This record gives sequence, C-alpha cells and structure tokens, in this order.
Amino acid sequence: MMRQAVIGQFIPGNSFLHRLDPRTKITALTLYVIILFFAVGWGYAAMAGLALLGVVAGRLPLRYILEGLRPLVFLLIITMAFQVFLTPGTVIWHLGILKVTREGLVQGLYMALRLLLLVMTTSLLTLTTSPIALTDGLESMMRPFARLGVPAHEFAMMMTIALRFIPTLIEEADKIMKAQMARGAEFSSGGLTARARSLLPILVPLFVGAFRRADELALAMEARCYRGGEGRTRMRQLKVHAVDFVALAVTVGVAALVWRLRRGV
Amino acid sequence: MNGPNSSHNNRTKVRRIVLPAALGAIGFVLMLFEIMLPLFPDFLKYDAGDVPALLTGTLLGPAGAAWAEVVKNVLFFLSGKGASGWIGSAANLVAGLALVVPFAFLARRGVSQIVALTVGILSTTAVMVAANYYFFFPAYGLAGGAATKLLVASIIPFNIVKGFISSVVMVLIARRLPAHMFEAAVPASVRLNPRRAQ
Repeated sequence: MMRQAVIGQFIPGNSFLHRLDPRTKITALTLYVIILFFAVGWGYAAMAGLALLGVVAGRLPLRYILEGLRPLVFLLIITMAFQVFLTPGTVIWHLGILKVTREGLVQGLYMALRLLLLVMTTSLLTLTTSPIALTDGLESMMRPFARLGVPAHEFAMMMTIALRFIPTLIEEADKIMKAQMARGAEFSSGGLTARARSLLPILVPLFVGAFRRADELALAMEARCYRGGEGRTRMRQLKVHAVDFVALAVTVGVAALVWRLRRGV
Repeated sequence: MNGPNSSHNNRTKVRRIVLPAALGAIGFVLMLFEIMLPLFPDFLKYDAGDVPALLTGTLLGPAGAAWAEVVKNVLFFLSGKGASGWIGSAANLVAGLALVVPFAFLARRGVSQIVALTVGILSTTAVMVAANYYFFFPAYGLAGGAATKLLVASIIPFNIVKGFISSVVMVLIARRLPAHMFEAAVPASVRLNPRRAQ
C-alpha cells in the first residue's frame, strides 16, 4: 500500500475532504469547473472562497497546494501578458507599441485567477483521494451506463492493474538503466538523435518485461476464473454519508450564487 | 461466444484488458521524462508516452490503443505531475487518441505501417489545431485576435514533430522485440504481425 504513494500526490488523512465519498468529490469538482467558466465579477470571489474553504476542509499544508501551482507560473504569465497587452480599451500606460488597457488588466487578472482555481481545486481532489478510491468512484458512476455499452468494469480493472504496475516498472527501468550504464551506455550526452537512440537499450527490455508480466498476470487471472465484471463482489464498498450531502449542498449553493451574480450583471 | 472456442475467446478477452493496462502504465512512466524540443516554447515538450499506445494498436487494434491512451492520461491526471491540471491531461488524451486510433485502424487492415503512421500524424495535427482553437486556448484565457492564430500555428509543426519521433521510436522498438513476446502476449488469432517487414 505504501508504494501507491509513488504515483499520486495523495496525502493520507482524516479530514472532512478525506472522508467524503469519491463520487461526491468528483461530482462537486465537475460542477465547480463548469460553473467557473460562467463566473463574472464577484462570482470569482465566491469561487475563490469555495476553493479556500476546500483547502481548510482538507486540512492540507499550504506548501503542497503552492507546490502544485508552481508549474503553472509560466502559463499564468503568458495568459496575463496576452490579456493585458491585447485587450482593446482605455489605455492607462504604454511603451512603444505595447499598450496596457484597464480592461486588459482586469480581464488578465480574472483569467489568471480562473486558471489558478481550476488547477487548485483539481489538486484538492487528487491530494485527498487515493488513486484506487478515485477509480472505484469513477467505476461506480459509470456503472448505470454499462448497459449502454460503457465499459465501466474494464476501465476500473485496467486502472487498478496499471496502478499496481507502475512501481514495478519504475524499479525495473532503474535496474535496466544501471545495467546499461555498467556496460558503458551514456544517456545524457550527444545530440537529439543520439539521445533518442540511447533510449532504445532501456525501452526494449522494459517492454519485454512488461509483456512478460502482462502474460503472467493474464494467466493468473484465468487460473482464478476471472470472467469480467458481472456478479463480482467488492472488498471496498462505497457508502454515502451525511457529510457528502453537506459538501454537495455547499457546492450547489455557491454555484447558484455565481449563476445569480451573472444574471445580475 | 459459447462455441468450442470459448476458452480461447476468454483468453483473448483477459489479454485485451491486461495488455493495454500494462502498456498504458509504461506510457505514463515515459510521460514523466519530458524532453525540450529546440525552437518550441516551454509548454510544448516531447514525451514518448504515445509509443506504448502505438504498439498496443499494432497488437490489439484501435480499441486496445485507445485504452492504453486513456489509462496513461488518467494516471497522468492522478499523478498531479501535469503543469495545468486536468486541461493538460485532456489535451494529451485528445492528441493521443487522434494519433493511435486511425493508425491502429489502418494497420490492422493491412495498410503499410508508413501510410498508417502518416495518417495518424496528420489526424492528430488536424484535431489538435481545432481542439486548441475552440477549446484549450480559450480555457487558458488565450482567445481572440491574431495572436491566437499565431499560437495555433505553432501547434502544427509541434504535433508533426512529436508524432514523427514517436512513430520512429515505435517502429524501432517493434523490430527489436523478440517475436515470442508478441506470441505470448497476444494469441496469433488477434495479432497483426509487426515483424512482417523483416
């Protein structure tokens, strides 16, 4: 179980967010993301407030949240620059052909905030929900559509297998790399093509290993009479509690507020 | 399904789940090693994540390839390694599907690998131009005006280069994989022979 930590950014805990059913969190996040695109003016304040409430309810160290936002800085700068310099309107400052408009500045700040909230709330989900719980949640939400041909069980099974494979793969890749380095291979020198070629001695054994493992796993599943999702029972059962309704009610409430603010403008 | 071959069908079915999962996991691991391409901006980086999905396509056809892409990108989303949360994963998923599905569809129908790969590259480029113009750039707040067209223009060479590198790596790997591996992973009845060229 410890090994799962390698994949996700999941931080185990027992906070309000941690205790929510994964399906609640997925539903709330989806609603949040959709409504975020409709927010205007004070609506952004309400959305930001809800996101901050989430951070508090998840009792997450602020460091993790900020860490998750760091790769975003470059995109934020582009978005800001794009809006600030290219939105027509009242010019408040200019340097040569570069003009800063008030409308651009306001628009740029809103867009940057939207992007920040978009990424922040998503990481709230992945920080407080283990990959397996998320997969279970998705499967459960897709199951009503299984009759229409939506492969809910297959999806969940593949995700579970893949999650289990990753630590093994990383370990194996590490071993192969060391083995090739011991044979004098170099990975970090030469041009683009030389580097791409030097990856082959790693990739080929990695694929061979994965094929072998996949074959062994398929054989093991057959030996245990695996026959798909029908009539399968589960070890972890998902249950909806009172807290789930509270969380959903708060999200729907904020969404309704944002929608009203939009109509008011 | 319940004919004399049913045990064989079951064997195929389990492999159709296990193989895309395993190769999707490799795709995810490869995605973590991003390579800067010369001349392209920071957010357009190359990763070899599509290579396993292409390989899955040659073995299992379009459905398997699509699953490998889905597994890879859901894992990437869960890992939180992407710079832009779910938008990056969604963009990568669309690009990946547009590359591997047409390729696998054609490759399974006996079209030569070069033609199938070319169609895949053209398809991913066309789809990404449209998807970025109508969805991903607006989602980032980069919409409107001539600047958008310029940004979209950078998508075209990037996707061609990315698809090309992935295709070359895939072909090189497929040639080096021992034949019995394919044999073990996928029963001959559902397998396209990628070693035909040799």
